[in-house]
Amino acid sequence: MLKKTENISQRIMLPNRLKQGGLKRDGFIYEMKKNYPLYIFLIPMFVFFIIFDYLPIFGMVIAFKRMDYSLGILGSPWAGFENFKYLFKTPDVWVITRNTVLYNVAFILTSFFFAVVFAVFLNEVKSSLTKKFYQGVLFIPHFLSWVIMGYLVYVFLSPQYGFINKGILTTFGLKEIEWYSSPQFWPFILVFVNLWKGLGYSTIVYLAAIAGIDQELYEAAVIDGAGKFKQTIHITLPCIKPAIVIQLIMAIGSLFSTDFGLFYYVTRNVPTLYPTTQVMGLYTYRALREMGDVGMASAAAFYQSIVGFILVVVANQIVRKIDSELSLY
Amino acid sequence: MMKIIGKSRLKINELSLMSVTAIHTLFIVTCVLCLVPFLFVVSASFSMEEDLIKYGFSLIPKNFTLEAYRILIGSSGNELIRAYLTTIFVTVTGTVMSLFILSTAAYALSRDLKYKSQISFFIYFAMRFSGGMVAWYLVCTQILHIQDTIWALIVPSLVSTWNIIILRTFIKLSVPMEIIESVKMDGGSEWIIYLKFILPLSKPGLATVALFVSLRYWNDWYLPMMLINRADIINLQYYMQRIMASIQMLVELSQREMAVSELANVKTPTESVRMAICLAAMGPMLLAAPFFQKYFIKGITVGSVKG
Repeated sequence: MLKKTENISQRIMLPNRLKQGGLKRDGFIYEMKKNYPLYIFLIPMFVFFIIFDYLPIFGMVIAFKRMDYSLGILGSPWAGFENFKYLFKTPDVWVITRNTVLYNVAFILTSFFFAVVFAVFLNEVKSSLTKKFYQGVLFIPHFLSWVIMGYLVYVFLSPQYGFINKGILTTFGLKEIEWYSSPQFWPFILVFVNLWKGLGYSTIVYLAAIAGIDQELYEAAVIDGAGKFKQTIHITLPCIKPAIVIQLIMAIGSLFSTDFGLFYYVTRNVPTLYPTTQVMGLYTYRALREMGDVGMASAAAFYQSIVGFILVVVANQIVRKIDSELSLY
Repeated sequence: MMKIIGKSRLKINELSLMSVTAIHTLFIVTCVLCLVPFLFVVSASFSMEEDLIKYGFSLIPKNFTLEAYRILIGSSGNELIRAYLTTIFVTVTGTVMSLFILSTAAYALSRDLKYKSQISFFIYFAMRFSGGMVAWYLVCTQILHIQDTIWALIVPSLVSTWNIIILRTFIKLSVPMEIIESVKMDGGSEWIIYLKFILPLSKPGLATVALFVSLRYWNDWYLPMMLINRADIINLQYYMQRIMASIQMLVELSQREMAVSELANVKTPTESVRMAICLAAMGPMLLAAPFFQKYFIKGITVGSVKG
């Protein structure tokens, strides 16, 4: 009891004391005085993001400069749109844009479709031990890097040693295929590998959504005589629809982004395959690190960032229309 | 009457034997597809080189041999061990540093700060927009000058928005506000609250995020590829990449048959050694995966619900 009165008196005293100091309760200085230790906690994170995210955003101006390492970023002379003229004259731009967008669309649709199907089926597995086992095994590829993924694919596709050539095609008397010099197969191979690596992860996302569905809905459906199939169509899918819609729209924002480890390591960066495997991030990497052409690389990176930016804004606007709480800003 | 209804309800809610079989078949086939590639790698690493040349990779070694591992420990052992040590050092240091920055930031964000929404926007924006690879590369090499140092493998991936969000959610769920209030009432500073209450209470969250972060460091190929040119500080992933590329060059340079016969003379790892290295690199992850699984799933669930 005594403590409570103390608290109250403290609370009453507080604004008075502050008024004497001439501080408003909602001002910046008041907030800093009250919570400065917490703001100090935020400093390392702030410094990190400023250096590694915000500084590069300003650094995008180098796309309009003729980069000279001896003069530095600020000292290099302006080049106007020269880098872009150079970039857009090459046929590469069209190829990498097409490849990036089509691969992303294929990745999104395949992983979405299989993840939902697997999540619905996994939810029907009765024994929790079996369920955990399936889930665990499906999840294993997620733990591996693209470099190792490159090795695993090589085990199957290597022209001299690969299981597909030596173990399957030769056994059935078929002609061996030079996988690493036949670009036409790679769209399918890459989509499959991407699905293989990511399926366990995306299944968990939708499984979480399914687990969140109110069980009473199912009980009511059973009373109404709905079987499993009808329950899935009329309860499960409609209930996870918001999660699906949001995931798909957010994916629009990443149509121009690339996780280029897949395209670099799994194809073993073989130039013959470039027509169907070259994507934006990889193109920039090669221009920057392998050809040393900073102008070309910066123009390509700028192009990717700007279009990516527009796509994120568009995706976010759509999400905001559907559910304002889920939008980014 | 009741009994009959009860029974038919149960029946309606059950899958037919055929559907159950179909579902299990689907999962078993998928599981086999997930595991078979590893069996090939294991088998190849215990195979004789001559058998690989003759029959290609197979599920069971034709003639069991430890030759690949002998070569691995012998000739290229030093490089492999150095790459291993680099990866371990980077993973441990990176995870500790990262956890410190992430947990302090996540704790501050879990409290009701006046500028919380602005700060959230600041970090979400950083997650969704990037200045691109070239500008990032120039910041690292021209301003920070971290290329060709061990820090290049650690510092650029210390913080990620995703991990902050997950950790903040964990802290919010596991630390009751009353504790913070009462410690403050007793005159405890934020630092004491963080050290004595937040860290111990949010252990499951910290463990989850530590796993995400360490997996990222362990599997990192991007940073060495971008920022390292020296041979002595490459990590495991990049070492594997070099081994893959060195053979590839050999094969491209000479005729197929030539290269195969030359492989014996040239001191380059052969196919079985390559697979042994692959196994050595992914082994720790594969062994640890079952134990990590639980935390991972929890983390992804928290992230997908709140993210």
